[in-house]
Amino acid sequence: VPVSAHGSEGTNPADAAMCGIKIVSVGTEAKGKIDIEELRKICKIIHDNGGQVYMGGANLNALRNCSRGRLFRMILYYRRHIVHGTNFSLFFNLLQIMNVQMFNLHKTFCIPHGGKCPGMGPISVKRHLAPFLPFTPSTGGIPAPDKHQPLVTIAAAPWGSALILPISYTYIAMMGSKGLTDASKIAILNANYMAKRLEFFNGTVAHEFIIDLRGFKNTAGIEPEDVAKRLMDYGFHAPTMSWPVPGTLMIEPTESESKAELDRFCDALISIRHEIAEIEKGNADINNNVLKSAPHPPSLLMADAWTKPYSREYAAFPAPWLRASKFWPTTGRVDNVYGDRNLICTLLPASQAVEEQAAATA
Amino acid sequence: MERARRLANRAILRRLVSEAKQHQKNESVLHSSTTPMLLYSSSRCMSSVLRSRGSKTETLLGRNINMSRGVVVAAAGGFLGVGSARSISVEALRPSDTFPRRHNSATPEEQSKMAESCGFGSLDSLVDATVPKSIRLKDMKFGKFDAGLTENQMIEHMKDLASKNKVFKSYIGMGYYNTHVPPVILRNIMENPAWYTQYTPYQAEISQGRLESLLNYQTMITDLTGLPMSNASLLDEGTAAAEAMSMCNNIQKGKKKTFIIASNCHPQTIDICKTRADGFDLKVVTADLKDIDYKSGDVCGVLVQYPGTEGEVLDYGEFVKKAHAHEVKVVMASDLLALTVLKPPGEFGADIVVGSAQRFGVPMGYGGPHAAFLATSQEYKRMMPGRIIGVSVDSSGKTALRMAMQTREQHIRRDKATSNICTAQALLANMAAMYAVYHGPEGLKNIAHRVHGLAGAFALGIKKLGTVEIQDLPFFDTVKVKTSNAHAIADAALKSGINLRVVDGNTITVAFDETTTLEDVDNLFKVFAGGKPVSFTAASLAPEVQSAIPSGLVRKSPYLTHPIFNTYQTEHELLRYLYRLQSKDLSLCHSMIPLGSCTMKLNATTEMMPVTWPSFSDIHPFAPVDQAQGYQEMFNNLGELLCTITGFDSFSLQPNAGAAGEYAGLMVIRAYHLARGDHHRNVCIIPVSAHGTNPASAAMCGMKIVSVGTDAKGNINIEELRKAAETHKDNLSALMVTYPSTHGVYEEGIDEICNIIHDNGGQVYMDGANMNAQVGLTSPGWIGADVCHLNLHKTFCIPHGGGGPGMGPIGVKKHLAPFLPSHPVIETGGIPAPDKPQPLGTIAAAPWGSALILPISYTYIAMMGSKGLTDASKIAILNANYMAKRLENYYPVLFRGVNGTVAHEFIIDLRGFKNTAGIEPEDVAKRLMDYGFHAPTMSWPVPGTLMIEPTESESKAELDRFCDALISIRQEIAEIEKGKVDINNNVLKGAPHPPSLLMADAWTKPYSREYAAFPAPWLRTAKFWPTTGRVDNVYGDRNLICTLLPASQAVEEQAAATA
Repeated sequence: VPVSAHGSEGTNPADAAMCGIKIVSVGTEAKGKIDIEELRKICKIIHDNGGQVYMGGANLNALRNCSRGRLFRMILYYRRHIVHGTNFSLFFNLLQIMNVQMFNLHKTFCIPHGGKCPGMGPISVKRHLAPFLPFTPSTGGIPAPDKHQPLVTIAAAPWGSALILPISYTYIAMMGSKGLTDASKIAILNANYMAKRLEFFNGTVAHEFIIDLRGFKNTAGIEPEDVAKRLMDYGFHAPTMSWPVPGTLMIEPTESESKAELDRFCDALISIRHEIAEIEKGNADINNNVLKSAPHPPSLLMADAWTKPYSREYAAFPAPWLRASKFWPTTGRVDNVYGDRNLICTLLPASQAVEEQAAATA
Repeated sequence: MERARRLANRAILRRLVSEAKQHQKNESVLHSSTTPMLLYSSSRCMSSVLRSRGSKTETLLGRNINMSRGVVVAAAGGFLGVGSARSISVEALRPSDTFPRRHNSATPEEQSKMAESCGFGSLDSLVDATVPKSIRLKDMKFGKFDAGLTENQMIEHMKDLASKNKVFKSYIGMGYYNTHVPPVILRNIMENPAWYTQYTPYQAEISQGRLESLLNYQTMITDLTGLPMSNASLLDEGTAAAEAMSMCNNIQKGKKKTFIIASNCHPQTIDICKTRADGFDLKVVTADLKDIDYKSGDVCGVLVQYPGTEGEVLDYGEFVKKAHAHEVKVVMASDLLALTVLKPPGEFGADIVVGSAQRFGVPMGYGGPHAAFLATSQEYKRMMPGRIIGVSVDSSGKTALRMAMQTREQHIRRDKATSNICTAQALLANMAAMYAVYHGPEGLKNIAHRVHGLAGAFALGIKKLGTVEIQDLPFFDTVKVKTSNAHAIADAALKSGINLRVVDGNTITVAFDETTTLEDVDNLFKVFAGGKPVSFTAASLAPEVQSAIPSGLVRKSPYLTHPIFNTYQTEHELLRYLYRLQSKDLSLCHSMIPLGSCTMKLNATTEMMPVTWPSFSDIHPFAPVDQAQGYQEMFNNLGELLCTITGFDSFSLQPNAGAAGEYAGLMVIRAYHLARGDHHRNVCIIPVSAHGTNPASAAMCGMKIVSVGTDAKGNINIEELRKAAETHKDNLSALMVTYPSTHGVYEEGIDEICNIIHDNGGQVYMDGANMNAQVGLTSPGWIGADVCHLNLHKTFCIPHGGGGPGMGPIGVKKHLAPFLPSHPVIETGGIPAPDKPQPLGTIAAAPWGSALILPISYTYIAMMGSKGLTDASKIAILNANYMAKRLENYYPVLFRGVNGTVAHEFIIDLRGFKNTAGIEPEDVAKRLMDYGFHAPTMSWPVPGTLMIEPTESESKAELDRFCDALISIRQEIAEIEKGKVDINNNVLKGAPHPPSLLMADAWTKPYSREYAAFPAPWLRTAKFWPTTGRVDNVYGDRNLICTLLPASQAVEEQAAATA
């Protein structure tokens, strides 16, 4: 398992362990970049030594910096040589599922963002692995292999969470082959556009569109979490934080965001970069600044007493679009340590909830 | 044997205890007053029998179950008999999804507690003290649905009805077209309670979202019609045309009494105008375009259709010039999709343009609801009917929207009103506006070109077939076919699931729309080929198709250029735009909206579900009735149910708003008098406590209004009324009465009042606005009324939609049933039908009004059942009395019944505070926003007051929250009265407080930020934020802007407000 292996939220090593496979880690080169030639070499090495190649479905990063020709050749290579964890287009389907479910749940039923969507993780294999797909008397691979030697059962239901498959099916059927291909191209374009807009502040070329915040720990005492919380004040959810590299943010815009939205997000990060610069220059206190105190809920911003060294308006409305429409966080920064040291995972008794609310209000 | 029995009982008890614990979680037991639910402790289901044994029940359910024989027998009553073991009660096995307990919020315990706080031992004794004995109904029973269906049974029933509707491919046209409702709009507006449970945007600061959407609508209409001002929607195209006719009459100051309608208008439009004209002595003349002349000098206006009802697109340039030369106003009824490619009416010089926005993403729905429009010049702004959204500024100088020129409204102008339009079609206007936002100008033009191209392909193909003749006039979407065999072709079409319009025995028109496909056109070729093979397809003909629009009539001017119509064309962007607007508006999703007389109550999810089913939404209103048997069955059932509820003999479902129902009710009375030869009966007596639009409706029927006052207690002055009736006994037509009155009182002498009117030759119209206080307890027919309209969007749960849709069907006694309205295309009348119909004319464009929203009221009634509905009325009364009791020590309660109770609503008097604290009702209304509430009805029916109507679907907790807010505000007023707070600079005058103000770096108020923002504890948990400070009404009326500001100006004003 390379240290840069994907799988959702870095689950690859755990998956291997669950299968009783001994894990051998290999490192990455400094550039962190894979191109088609190297990919070809990697697969050949593994195959020559009797192994099989599993590739996770979250493979956009490998595509992002490819030229068009290389992208095409890589797709061909996939089809001939690669075992997919999730095939190319189904990856987008999962994203769509997440988007659709989150939007609906969030807006209609007020479940906050960060709720986990239902997901589906079908696998596709080369012919020689097809007999080993999970099997019951009524299911197996699609299309079916000649002889079944099923690895046993993975999920309780024969076709997993079948009810949400129409979501992926309709997406693919409506997009058509060209639409899906355009989606990939635009996803790549969007990522590169954002990387280009943000690269000046990173100081180095973005890798797989990861922006590196590690330097700010030294120069301004700023951690990725501080940027994540301050992004809430700009009305945004943070990118993936501190993974796969600690101290970084991984940004994936997708093809369904408009240029206006990409620009807003870049503007927010650029503005935050300026806020960090104020700390670096000594114009803002390293411990008591707008990032360390973020997010700023209404109850804080409207409190009669205001003791921050920056203004209320600056905390609340750091960008012009927030005047027209603002998403308000309802709490200040949540104390993770407290929650782990005092583990309570059912509803508080009603009386205690009232007392705690009163204490917080006082 | 005794030991065996004891052991058996113990085992049974153990099993029941176990099952009881399981069932408790599901609240699976129904309420029953005859079979004690021994072991179930859910308070909502506990019967009165069980309640008296509560302590024993708790013992049985607790850890220490006393198993002694005596206790078991005593606790069980007859349930566990000494002589034998019995199985679990059948009640426990009944369905778990009963509806009344989901709608009627107060639990039995809360009901008792609340009644006791009002000084009554029980809910029933409170109701007995409130509803006069002389009009009290003993019982209300339904023939069907008496017990009430469960939610799932209701859904199954509606599916069954839906299966009886056949959705044919429609080419009927005539103002109604199939359309693709974008799913993002369907789910996020039409199916979204945060949009459909808003009220009319009187409180602008918590309505900026839909005000912007309605402003988008107005901008869309003005752009497409080429006239500078539009209202925010009307009921349908036919009534919009009637309003335009009325405007022409008013523009000419009533001096010219003839209105000409061209025969190329839709037949329903012609009939509605004729019916309306009858009411104010206007003569309608229909004529072919070529025969229209103005020589009489008596013509106030002329109405033409563009494109015509049979599809023709004509050049009206010379026509308009000629009319104007004779000082005749020109009204053009038009089609929005056509106007994306045709020369706009404004460029011909039309004075008024009307039409429907239905085909912009709103389902046909067997007639509606749809948003109609009326556009005109600013010159006529004060005569324009309907609501107008205007641009103003808030207290910080920031641009803000509000309803402009409200002094035109009917409840203010009363008998001087020129229109009774009250409810509009705000929700549908929002949908149509978003359709335009989503497609943008290019998208709309593409749709129009496609529709036109398909029509052209059809015309070309039909010519090639040679079986019929094509009319050789320009067309946009409708092709006129001349044939000797129209009915045979239409019958062949029916066999293929196709509806064509048969104009007459020799004429068929075929109207194309957004949903038509190339394959559909091929199917039409087969029909018109009469069985012969067709050698071509629409696709193969496409290269040959020429535009049928003359170059002189092609639209050249740009439209929808504002960025809002060019920005949100991906689903993500539109979705976020919708939610940004939604987040600015308060709805029933946020809190109760206790608007007196408006009955803002639960619009249950099950009630809303059938509205978006294709078998209800995709049927053309003029489809053959045998294709809509599901609808017909629902109409018949609903008609019967409403007859039972109202005590009337027949119902018309045609009026499609409360105001339309008022008007229809009076027209029925008028027709009745005329039929009896009583042409002189034209006097209408209206108490000052009548509903706000009543005088306007009477004026529209040509009636002379005689007002009668109220006594000190707010009741109709019976002696004054008797005197008025006797004075006018030779000319008395009607009394208009609201019951309970808008003062929130069941007037004791209502039956005597009805007798007085009848004795003097008049008929009694009862306004159904307060029907929520009558259902099951009394009824208009029982009281003595002859006709009553029902606001299905009040008592019967059609959501208010932010300002419409609504439905106002009318019920009548048998002697008035023959006069119920009918329709020129599809005959309608009463349900059940009278013996000899003599219809008064046509009230709405569609035969059954806005049929698509009738399932909402139907499901509500059918699920509640007769007892549930009666309980709803009782609890509505209880809730109002409970609130009045809680508030009476803080605000004077203005009117009460003879026993000191109020009806389902009550009025609190704020007039004293003007003197003592300088506080007006508006100040309280705005401060309520800071508490997260929409204000009650303000300054009506009595200036300086608030009218509060809680409804039965609000919980005690919500009632208490609202009372707490008003009590807190009273204390804020007291601070002013004591001189502790400045009379001009206080938390009420400064309200509402939006975040931008509360977080401003500078804070100069004499009260704290936290006090302004969080005056009550619940606001810490969930707070609805107004997005603007107080909106300046005067500014908006003095600077009337009712389209979107140019983008650059919007940016400048935003910057100015921020600086």
